[in-house]
Amino acid sequence: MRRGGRIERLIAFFRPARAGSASLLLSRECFAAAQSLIGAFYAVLLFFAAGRLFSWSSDLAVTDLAPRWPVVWLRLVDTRAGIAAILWLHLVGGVLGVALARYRWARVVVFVSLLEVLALDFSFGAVNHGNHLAVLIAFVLIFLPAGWHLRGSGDRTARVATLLVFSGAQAMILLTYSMAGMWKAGGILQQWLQGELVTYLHPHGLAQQVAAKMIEDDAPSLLGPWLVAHPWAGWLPGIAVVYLELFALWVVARPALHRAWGLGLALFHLVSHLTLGVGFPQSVLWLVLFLGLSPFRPAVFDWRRAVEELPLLGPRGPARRRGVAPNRV
Amino acid sequence: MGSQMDARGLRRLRRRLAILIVVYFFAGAASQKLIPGVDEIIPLYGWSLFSKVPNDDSRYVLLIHGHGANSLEPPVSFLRAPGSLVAGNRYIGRKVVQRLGRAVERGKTARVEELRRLLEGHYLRGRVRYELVFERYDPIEKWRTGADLERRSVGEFTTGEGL
Repeated sequence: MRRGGRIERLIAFFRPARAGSASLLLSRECFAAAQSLIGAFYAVLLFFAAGRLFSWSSDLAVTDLAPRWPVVWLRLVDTRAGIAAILWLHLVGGVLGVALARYRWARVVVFVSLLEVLALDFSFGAVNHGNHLAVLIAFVLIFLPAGWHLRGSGDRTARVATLLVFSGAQAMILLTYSMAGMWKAGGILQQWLQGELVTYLHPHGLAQQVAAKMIEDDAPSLLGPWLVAHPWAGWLPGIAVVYLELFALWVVARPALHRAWGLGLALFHLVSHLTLGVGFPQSVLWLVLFLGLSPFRPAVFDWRRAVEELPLLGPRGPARRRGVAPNRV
Repeated sequence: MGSQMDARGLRRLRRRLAILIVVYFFAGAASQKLIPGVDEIIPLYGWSLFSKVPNDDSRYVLLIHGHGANSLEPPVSFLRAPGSLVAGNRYIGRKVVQRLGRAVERGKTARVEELRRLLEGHYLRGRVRYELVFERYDPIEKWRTGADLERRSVGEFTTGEGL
């Protein structure tokens, strides 16, 4: 089969059986909301770039680093001058995102500036995945059409394309969680095959993970000691996390679930900070912005519809989807 | 693209976004899981975080027994040592300790010397006498009682000596 055919089938697989969500791509209200949220994304990036000014002096004092590939060119130039160039690019990218995001070249500069500064931060041995999403979202937003920024635009195709790209950014965010969930589900199977009883499905699974992390850090987290003392309290939350993560991408074509999944995953990050001591505050921001405040979410939360569309648990599982004609753009 | 975009252009855009998602999925997973010695290729990442629950965990602990002419009783662990003994980001240094412990146990002399230079040059201050200890434990049990399933000394070193 041609690659295009495979991709269409993949899109159809994720499309909900119940019609209606495609019509949201034509909604002027959704378009206006998406414009505001994209503007907010670039505003926050400028805020981060401005906040970074506080650490410029310490960044510029660095002499020894192991550059990651996007900043490998630092080996060829004076380190201080190279780092200064990256920091300036970050700041300029922040300003461009707010002032000129209507232009694709400006959005490319924003993406490159974020990639460079992320790579710089990773070039000291530390690996932190809390800031990856901004780079990925900035990349997807490069695809925004000309005219995406025009208030009340009468250009129907520009509106649809803008909302398609916005849903692409949502999909990219959710994909990272589905990948995390996939490894956890795979980990459960692998541990069973190896005869290990304590997995995320075991009543002590989450508590055991938290205990292992506190021992590794040689320090207690805020709620970790309580959870280890009451391991059953982590049983259902641990299973819920695997469920939320694994089926995250499934949610992208189901607007009724956007808010629940966005806030649910944000809550997961807050709780994992309090128990595991692992924080992803920037991811919380993007989850709330792109999913909690999704332009596609229903005006009033429809819990019946949300329950119906729950993956595996809802009545609209894959078995009931057969024979349903897919929506078309 | 833009105001001239038609329905065909929209379908092409949708297909491109879907391809991007598929490519990230495979490239991200490959960058973390399939390429030996490579943890990730920024910004590609597999997002395998805390994927398995450790049933029976293990670690190497660095215990500092002395600093200069002074002995420390009881010895202090690398992560809890004061700033006068440990430099730099100790949570990164901890990873060096794990690699060093494994290299010592496998008898990889050249690797041990390389890692000792890294550890002693970047993370330990002055002349430090330290011991590497291997611990294997049930995490919940160890957190509650401190008990290990196995605990043994892997080696004792003094900064700069034998390098």
